Amino acid sequence: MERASCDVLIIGGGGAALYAAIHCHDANPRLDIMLACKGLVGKSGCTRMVQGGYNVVLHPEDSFDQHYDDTLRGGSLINDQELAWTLVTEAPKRIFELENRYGCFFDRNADGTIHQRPLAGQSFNRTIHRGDLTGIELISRLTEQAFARRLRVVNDLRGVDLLLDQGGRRVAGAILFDYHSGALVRVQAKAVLLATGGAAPLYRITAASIEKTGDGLAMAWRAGAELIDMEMMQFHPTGLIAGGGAITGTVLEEGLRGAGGHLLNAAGERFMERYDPARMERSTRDRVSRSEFMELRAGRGTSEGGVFLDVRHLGKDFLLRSSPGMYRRCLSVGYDMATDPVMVTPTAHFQMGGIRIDRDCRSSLLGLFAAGEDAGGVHGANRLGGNGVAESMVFGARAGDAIAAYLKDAGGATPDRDRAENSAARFTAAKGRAAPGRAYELRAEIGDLAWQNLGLIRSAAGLDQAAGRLAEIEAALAETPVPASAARDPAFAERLNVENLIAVARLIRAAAHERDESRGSHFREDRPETDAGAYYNLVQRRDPSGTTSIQRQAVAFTRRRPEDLAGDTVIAKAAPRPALHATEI
Amino acid sequence: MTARDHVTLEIARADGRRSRHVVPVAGAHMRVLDLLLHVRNHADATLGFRYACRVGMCGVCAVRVNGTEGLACQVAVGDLGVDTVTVEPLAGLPVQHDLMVDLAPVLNDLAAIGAALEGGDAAGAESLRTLPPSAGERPAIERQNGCITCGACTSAAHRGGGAAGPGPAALNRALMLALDERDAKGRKRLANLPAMTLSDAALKSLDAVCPVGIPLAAAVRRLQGLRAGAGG
Ligand SMILES: Cc1cc2nc3c(=O)[nH]c(=O)nc-3n(C[C@H](O)[C@H](O)[C@H](O)COP(=O)(O)OP(=O)(O)OC[C@H]3O[C@@H](n4cnc5c(N)ncnc54)[C@H](O)[C@@H]3O)c2cc1C
Ligand code: FES
Repeated sequence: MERASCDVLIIGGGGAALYAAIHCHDANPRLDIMLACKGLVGKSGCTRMVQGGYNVVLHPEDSFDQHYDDTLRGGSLINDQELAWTLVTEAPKRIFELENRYGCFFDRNADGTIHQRPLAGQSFNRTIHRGDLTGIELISRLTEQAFARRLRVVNDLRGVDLLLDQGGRRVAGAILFDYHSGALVRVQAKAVLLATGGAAPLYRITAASIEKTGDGLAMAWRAGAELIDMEMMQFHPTGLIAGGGAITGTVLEEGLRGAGGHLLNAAGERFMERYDPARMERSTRDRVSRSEFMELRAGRGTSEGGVFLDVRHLGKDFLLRSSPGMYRRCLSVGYDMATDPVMVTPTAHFQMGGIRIDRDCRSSLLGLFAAGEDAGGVHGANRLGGNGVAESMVFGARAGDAIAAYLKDAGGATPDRDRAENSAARFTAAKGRAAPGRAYELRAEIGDLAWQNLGLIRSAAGLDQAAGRLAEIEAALAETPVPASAARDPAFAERLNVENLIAVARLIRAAAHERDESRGSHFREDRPETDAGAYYNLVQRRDPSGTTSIQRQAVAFTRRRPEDLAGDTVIAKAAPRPALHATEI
Repeated sequence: MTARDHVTLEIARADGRRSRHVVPVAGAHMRVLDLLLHVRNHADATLGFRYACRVGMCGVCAVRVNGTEGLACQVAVGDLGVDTVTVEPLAGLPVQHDLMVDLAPVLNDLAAIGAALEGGDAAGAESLRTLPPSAGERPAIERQNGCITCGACTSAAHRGGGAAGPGPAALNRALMLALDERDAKGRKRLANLPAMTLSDAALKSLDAVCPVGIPLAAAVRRLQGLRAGAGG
């Protein structure tokens, strides 16, 4: 095994990882920071794909309290109230920094004030953006700032396992796998940040960047860190269907429903009448997605497993003005939105659950930090559009600051050798009865299983069935070979992916089983009601013997009580937004 | 153009071979990426290529399709109108594995010219400035914005006879920063910038290959003009 060392090891290459790296360096430029990314830093992950924008209180008539209440309502009140408050109150600081110090630029109104658009579930138009390519702006500027600081950036180097000290409660680095050399690298580090972006691509149909396979979550779980609310997974209701193409699952923006788009089943009925007649298509993401799934299950979908988003009545002019990017994307797969209903499906979008952290991104293991989509608790049972990327920026920055502060007095720990060898044993060459390419099939199989049993509609029976299927998939995976040289072997990389997806699927399954109610994105058809009096989080942890426990912990109402937040939110009625970077007055 | 239900895919491989595969085309809108995935999932599990976002935003899937740079996730097979589709890695960049290239030279070019805003006096401001979209150089900056550092322009410049100096993406970013009133260095950046030598024809080809439609030739010309104006 190759060896390396650094002060701070950041695992990930999206917004949270980059922000942490920049802040950590600026807090103490002498720290030796290493950024290890499974793909290319700044070019993989979902931060880059952000379309809608970033929620931030800037307008004098808006307030932190309003943004906060929206966030808790959206989360069905099981958010960690301190994390959510931190999100809301620090979102502006990061925007000022991003624009004034790092060089981003966000769209303005004609009078030069910042443009803020409506997104679902918000009581005020507070989402800033740059056209519908906000993510590119954020990640490009963060990447160049990181490069300007000459940090150690290594691409195609993925986190595999955390190193622990002998006591098993303190993180001492990580084992990484180099795609190009096929070698394991044992990196000793005083602090490790996990920012690998969650596991939405567990599901057969997903909007997220495809290389995200729950690696950080699985690493944290194997090391014994606490995970919270793993059952909470968000599906977006308008994922594009494009034949069997890889573009299937990518998101058509919510604004199309906000502007009055209709959803139709294969028989042409506006099926939302059956599920939410008051709000119809402007109902919340989780409800609309679930309604679509119910239509599909009832056999009222298309043969390709979709329903239709119909925006023809909005007119070509409006569509071109308000959603030029979406218009082009649909056209490129054969739908002219002005004349054709577009076939859509729910699509796995964002994982609310994750590693349990405090305000300083500390996990339950000393020396281990988490930020962005890998962390849980901020969004509760559901995330508002525009709060995800804000989370990555806010908590990425906090992680960087907190790690620098932690290292003022913390030294390094010595990794436990046995544990490291144990982890390396998985890489020992082994013949398999299956072909290497079987890993791709198993990825598809676990995707189907998650879609059917761990997705939009769950039940005790379906979850029990999933347990058996996961064991079968695991057994089949064990039959795929481990090559003597794993250099540049994408099939072996997929094997590692599936291994982690199985671990994450099990955590989701167990939590979905334990939460015998329906709340936010979690729906149990055998328990369709929300348990009105019980607000709890589910905390999972693996103990050294290998058993994973699950515990209900009451939500701490430190800032709001449920009675303060009666009511529900709907998607905002969108006005046509100005043309991109409009120069007219 | 008639819809084809199969095409022959020819892929330039790391060992210098060209592998050939007959691949079904589910519809005219199928992308080159879909063909590559088909080969990897059904024919050759070791095929190396990159993709992440699938929607033209990350730029990691850039390759040459029938000789021309493009994003594998965006180029539709039906638009090519041919029976044989050749896929090769970008030119002028080190090939790592089949279609995977090392983009470090593109990114290093950016780092080498110091392509990152250096905040001036207002860097620590706790507010956003009022700035009409039409003010000053803003429209010009916005026109050049949106680079996804995919390497397509580097590849095209290389094919156009190679180029000394920083690549088109770096020059484009240098221009944006030189025009940006927030940048502490501003136009002073131009003085130390090595020139890029490219024929007019090669310059034009950059605009044709940029998958996000940035007017790169105009950027290079404006930069040259500014440098001349600044007397260096
Ligand atoms: C299509 C789409 C649109 C969205 N639009 C919005 C929006 O408008 N507003 C909003 O607020 N949110 C939006 N989101 C959500 C938002 O993108 C996420 O909340 C946010 O980007 C997560 O940032 P992150 O840094 O945690 O992870 P990511 O940006 O996803 O980055 C994860 C990184 O980890 C790397 N990685 C993965 N595994 C490993 C490993 N084993 N070792 C090393 N590195 C690894 C990946 O390669 C990647 O670089 C959207 C999401 C999608 C999918
Ligand atoms: S996969 Fe991201 S641009 Fe093609």
